[in-house]
Amino acid sequence: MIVIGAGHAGIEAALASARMGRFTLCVTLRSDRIGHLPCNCSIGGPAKGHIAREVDALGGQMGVTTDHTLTHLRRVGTGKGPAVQTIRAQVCKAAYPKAMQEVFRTTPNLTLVEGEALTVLTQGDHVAGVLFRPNGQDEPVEIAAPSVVITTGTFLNGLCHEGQKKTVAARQGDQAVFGLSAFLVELGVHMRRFKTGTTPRVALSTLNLDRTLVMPSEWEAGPLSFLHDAPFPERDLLPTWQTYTNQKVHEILRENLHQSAMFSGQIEGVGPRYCPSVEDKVVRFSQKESHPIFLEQEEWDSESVYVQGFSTSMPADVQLEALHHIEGLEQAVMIRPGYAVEYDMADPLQLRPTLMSKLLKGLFLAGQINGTSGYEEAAGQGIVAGINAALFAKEEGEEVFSRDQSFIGVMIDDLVTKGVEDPYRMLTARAEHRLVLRHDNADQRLTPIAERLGLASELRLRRLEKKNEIISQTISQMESRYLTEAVNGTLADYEVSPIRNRASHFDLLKRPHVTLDLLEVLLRALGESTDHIPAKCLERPGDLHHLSREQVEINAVYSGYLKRQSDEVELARKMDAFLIPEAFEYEGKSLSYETVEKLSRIRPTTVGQASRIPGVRPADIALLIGHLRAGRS
Amino acid sequence: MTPFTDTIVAPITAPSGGAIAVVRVSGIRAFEIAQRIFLGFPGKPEPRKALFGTFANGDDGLALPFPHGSSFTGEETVEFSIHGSQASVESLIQACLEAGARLAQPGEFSLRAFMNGKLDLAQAEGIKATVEAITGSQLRQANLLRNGSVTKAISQLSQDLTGVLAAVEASTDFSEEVGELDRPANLARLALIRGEIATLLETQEASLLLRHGRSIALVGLPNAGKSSLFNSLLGVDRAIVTPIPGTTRDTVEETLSIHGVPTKLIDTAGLRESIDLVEKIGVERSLAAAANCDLVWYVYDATLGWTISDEALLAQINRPTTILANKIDLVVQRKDLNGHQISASTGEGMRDLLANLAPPSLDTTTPFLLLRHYDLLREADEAIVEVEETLRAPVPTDLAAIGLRSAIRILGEITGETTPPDVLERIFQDFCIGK
Repeated sequence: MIVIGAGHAGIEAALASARMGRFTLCVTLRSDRIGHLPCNCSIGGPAKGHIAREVDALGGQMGVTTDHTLTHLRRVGTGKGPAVQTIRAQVCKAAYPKAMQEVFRTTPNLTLVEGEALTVLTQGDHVAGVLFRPNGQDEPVEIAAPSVVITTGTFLNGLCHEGQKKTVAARQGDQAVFGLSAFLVELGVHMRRFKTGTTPRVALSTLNLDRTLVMPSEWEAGPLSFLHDAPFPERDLLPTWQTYTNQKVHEILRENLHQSAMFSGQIEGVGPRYCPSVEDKVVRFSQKESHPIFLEQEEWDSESVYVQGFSTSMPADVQLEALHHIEGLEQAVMIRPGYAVEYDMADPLQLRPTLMSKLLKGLFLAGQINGTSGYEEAAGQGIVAGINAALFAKEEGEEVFSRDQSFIGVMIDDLVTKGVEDPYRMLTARAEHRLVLRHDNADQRLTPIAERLGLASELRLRRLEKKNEIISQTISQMESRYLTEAVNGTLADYEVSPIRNRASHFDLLKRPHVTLDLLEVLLRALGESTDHIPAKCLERPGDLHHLSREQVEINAVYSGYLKRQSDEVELARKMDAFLIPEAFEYEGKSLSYETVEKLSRIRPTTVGQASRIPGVRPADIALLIGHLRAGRS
Repeated sequence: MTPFTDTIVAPITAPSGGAIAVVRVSGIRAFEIAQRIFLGFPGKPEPRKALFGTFANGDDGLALPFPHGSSFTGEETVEFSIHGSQASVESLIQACLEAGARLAQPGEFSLRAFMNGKLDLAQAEGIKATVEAITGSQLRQANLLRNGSVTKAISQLSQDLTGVLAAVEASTDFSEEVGELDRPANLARLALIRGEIATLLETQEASLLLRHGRSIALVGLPNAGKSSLFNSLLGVDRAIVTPIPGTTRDTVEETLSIHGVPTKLIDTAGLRESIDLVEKIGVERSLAAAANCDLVWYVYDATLGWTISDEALLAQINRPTTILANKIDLVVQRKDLNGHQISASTGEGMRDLLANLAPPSLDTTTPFLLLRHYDLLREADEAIVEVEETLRAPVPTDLAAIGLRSAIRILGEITGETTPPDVLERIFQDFCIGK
């Protein structure tokens, strides 16, 4: 199996395949750039933390490497429900790629070669291998393989913009590639131009940090990987600093809009709606007086600070002038300006839910090339493509991730069912069943799948088993211990509504306002034991008792919501369990012309997927089911 | 469900009576069939332009062609106007069948219209209700379903809920940009939505009464005049009436419209201990009828007065009951008589009796729904109540999205947007679409 590219998608694809026992070759232009972080230095964050956890639960690498290289750690979504809460880590941009290189070096079955993949070789309707030119050689080499994963990110026809200045490159310091793009076009893949951008970097020692809000790391946010009791930072965690843009900054940006590559029409690609450039924000939210800016140190031993919230394609002098009007950045030295990059993306509607191309058997696409943005989104696709490419190579079926099972499933279903109009970023709101797709239960949801595929280590399985055991024991003990009306006086002291007859500890936890903390206080006040409740452990927030305690609490406190959500999941599952044969013919089934066109083009694999295609009506679905039933009998 | 690869035919006007009948042919071969049975039907007919010509049976009439996409069913359609005699209509249909059409099942045109996106689910159900309407009120309410009033009301509710959901989701993912959710404002929006739902639910009693009607059992001792009352209400001598107690031995049923409500009147055998086997069975049936009807009219002979036997019988009845003192015209001292005073023979007191049966006053513009719709509305309302509880409690607002999504899905089941296929199938099975 061959993986082209070694970014966040390529890493997970190559490692999954190698760990599943396939001989895997990873082709990349520069091996020192494995797992490079060209934009910000953060892993996780709203909805992205969910994907990072899911990749980890599937035996992926992103979480483990993050835990070893992080410089900063925060909780996000505090004050929101458990479905929204997750982790955001910052990693050292120097250490992260090094750690990934080390993993590549030590993973059996995995070979890394430096070079440029020129084209994919085909034989009939399937992949035959890859033609690539090793660095330093003139003659290209053919390597045969039954499946190939393309994870080329922004490299295809990359074009960087900084004001009116254009450079043909995939990103700062990396050449763009053209051969693969030509191959895909010839194959019939619909290519479009997308745009993304990054922020300027400023020098730490030139910042006036006293004038910013210091946001210390939150150790209790926990490790990203389910394998760890706590993360392993090399040094004491760093803070991050918050400041704001202001009217003067907005004025400067507005006055210079004509110089912005985005607004002057230099860029034809579509930019990300949910990660807009600062000039975008100033135009779109013109009534807002300021936008938050976060200053993030990119490496342990470097001055470079990422100006989160200030992605831009303005000329360098305008960037600097605007930066100097931000509190704390008055004297900032700009190490390098922000820039935008345009690149070719391939229409994901031409992919199956396994991320295999509908146009060529054995060809998989993952990551930014499919129109997404973000390291986590790339990693999530990478592991799915890697798993399925490995399965395909041995004709061992496929592994499809559903919407009610993971954010990864939501993302891929969105991509292959609805397509993308602008770079796709994961949002919590995209997941309709998110209360069951929490970042804290990704292991319970997905590690059993990893086990089946051979991707879960002994340690991972043991930890999950132990966690499940503590949870079920705790709940059963809490359900069998009762309080009676006699304690109502004490309950009243803590503003807990009175008990009638009796209530188990678990029932009590289901009441509004009752948390495990409060329950423990109550039990102690009543002279009752709290030994059956797993202890908190803020120093080791990945400790299994600590994690189990969280699960017990969520299961009780949100039981009503979980019940309603599970009912909805059941309904959805029925539709997704109804498979449509691959060769199903939509013509001549009295479906409307538009419907036939859509269904024939997208070729949904289940009735559920068909029902989510925009414009497909319930009557079409009923008719479709009628035909499928008729076809079966 | 059968795929629509065939062409169907059926008269779409009432089976008898009119001078003109209309026969519809719908399906992929409609034009082709028209060419074979209607002389002068062109290869490429102009849409919606009536053509005069001669049918194969020698009769003449009109053919009105509708192209694919712009007919009632959404399919290629021809509507023939022909003389309304039974023989004329039958021979035209026979000709269509011979030319390759198939006789349409009841409701099949509606099913095709729904499947082709010409009607939503509630509208299709409205058509079924229209076809089945017996009384004028039933028809009015079916019309409201059919013309999309219900869909409009439900879609508006869905849209309003989607507005609240959008606010919840925006504050979940973009609280930095849009701020936290305004709980009071969104609770107020939900209160309005629930008010609308309550208004729709209020129509349930009247709606179901109109649609399904009610049954009234006439129960009492022998010779109380139940059958006389029965006949007088029907206006015909339906039941045999004699002065001999125990004349009615079996239950007799007839349906009539009372204030627009289809009302099934059940005349029963007088209740007494009998040694006559036939009468005994009749009495058992009377008791069964009294136990299953919506309303009991307990009739007694006013000339004999309220007796211990009446008291004992009444105690056995556990349905809502109105006591009627019959033969009031023969009684002089009326003052202390138990119950509503009537005379089946003179009609005295009958008007008042029937006035009590008038359904709740009806606003002819309020959409009336089917039982399926009411159940779903209540289910949606329950989900919204959970949302309200979430927004009132010190609970994170993103949790409100769960109930909101449920409510929107449930409302979509009314109009067919989110109706699970198995439910769709069941609904259209009621349309008698076989195979």
